[in-house]
Amino acid sequence: MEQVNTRSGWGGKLRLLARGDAQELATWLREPLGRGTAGALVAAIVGGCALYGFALGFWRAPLQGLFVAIKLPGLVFLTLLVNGGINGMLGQLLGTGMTFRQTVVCCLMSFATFALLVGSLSPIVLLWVLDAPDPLGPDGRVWYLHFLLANTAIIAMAGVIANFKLLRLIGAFTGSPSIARRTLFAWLAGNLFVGAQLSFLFRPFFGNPRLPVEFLRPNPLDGNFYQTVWYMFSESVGGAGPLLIELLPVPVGLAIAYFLAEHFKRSTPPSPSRVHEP
Amino acid sequence: MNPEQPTPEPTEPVEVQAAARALPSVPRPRAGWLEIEPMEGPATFGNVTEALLRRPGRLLHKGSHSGIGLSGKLILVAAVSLAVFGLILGTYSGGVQLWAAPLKLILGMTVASLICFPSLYIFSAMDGLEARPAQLATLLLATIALTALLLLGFAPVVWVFCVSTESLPFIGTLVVIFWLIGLYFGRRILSGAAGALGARSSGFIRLWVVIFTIVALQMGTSLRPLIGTADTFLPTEKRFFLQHWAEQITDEE
Repeated sequence: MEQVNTRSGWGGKLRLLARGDAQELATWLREPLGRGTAGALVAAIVGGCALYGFALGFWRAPLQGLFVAIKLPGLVFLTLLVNGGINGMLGQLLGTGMTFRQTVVCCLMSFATFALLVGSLSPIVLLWVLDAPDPLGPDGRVWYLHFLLANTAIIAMAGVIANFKLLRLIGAFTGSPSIARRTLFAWLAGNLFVGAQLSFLFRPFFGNPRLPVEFLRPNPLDGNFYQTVWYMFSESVGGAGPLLIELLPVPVGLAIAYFLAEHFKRSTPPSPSRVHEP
Repeated sequence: MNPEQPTPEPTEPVEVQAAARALPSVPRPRAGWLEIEPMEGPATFGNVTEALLRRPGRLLHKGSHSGIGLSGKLILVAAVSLAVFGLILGTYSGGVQLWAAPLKLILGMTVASLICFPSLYIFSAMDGLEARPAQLATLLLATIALTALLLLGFAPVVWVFCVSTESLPFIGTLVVIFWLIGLYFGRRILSGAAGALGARSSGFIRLWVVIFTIVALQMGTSLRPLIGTADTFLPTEKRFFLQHWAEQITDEE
């Protein structure tokens, strides 16, 4: 097998990242953080997300493409910045043995893998956009929905792969699959929760053809993703809303009961074994 | 060594065998129990914070050797963390709340800890824990400090929502969820230390955590507003926290 040299240039480091061998990445993670490591990961995120962001926004207008190319890497770094502290604390509490620096590098590796994936698909998306109907034309709306759906699938696929690699990396670093699963769940929950709100504040990304081209919507810091989703849900279910609210405690209660049952099952002390005389 | 001679089976050291014979009913260490070990270096702010997150057993060891100094550090960690978190909460309304929210958070947590300490002593004794009050106080401080430290970690997330959301119940729910997550990890210190110090079970300690949670939530209601504004510094009307939350949600709708 080819020997890993994490001291090689950005190209070598990114190849290592793309190959995703968990043991090699864990070895890389244990090394002191140098400019090369930080530079390679940041370059991958900026390059990959900017290319993909440009392709996303380009259909609406070239200027919108430029805006999204700036905003998408910014969204990744801001999510990391907001969650960096709590991710580091949870990583230590859950027993990964990672320092704060290693936690940040680990998350950067995951986002860089995501960026490499979406960045590599950006030429295809760009070509698809160049072949698209006019946004304000008669077929524009249907095409817009297809475009939204396909790119949601691309982002989801890249996210799943990047997190699977992250899971294997944490597992290789800690040597414990259960610690890896718990840590990934904690980090993922936090990053998704904050990422969704930040992406809501930084909209538009896809660029609705009926709305003007702009870097941010008017009053960008005025709104809440989760409340908006809730209002949309309430509107869509109409009269069934109150009934659903009343039924909501049932699945929530079941989930809590399941969690507690699992928790107590794990923490039940074993029956004391009698020590026999030799 | 003669290669044909069979290798002897690995056995436990003589001391361990003797201990096992002498104490056949002592449960062996299991997952979740703290490993009580000496702290590397002095109990500095950084070392205490690291021990809270990675090796809380070191605090227990240090606490039994240098009581007051360690307790002071834990109080400092908790107070600074709660103050910063309170300041972030205060940005939701600004003005008076910038200093009132941190003050009320620290005051509420202090009062809740003080009035719950006697019950912690009794409940832990019912679990079979033979700990001195000073040891339990260190444990309680470590629990509060870890909870506060995690709230500090969540502070940037709360800030993002404070600057972009007008819904008071949403922010309130978010803070309670983050506080419960912090307390869940804080509770692990109590249960883990109880196991390591010879408790037969941790059922009563878990029950105490539930009681402490209710007391702290009520304290938050008694010192309201922690989020939002009011005409007076402290409320003029007494309310149970569930009733207060229900009214806030109803008003929002």
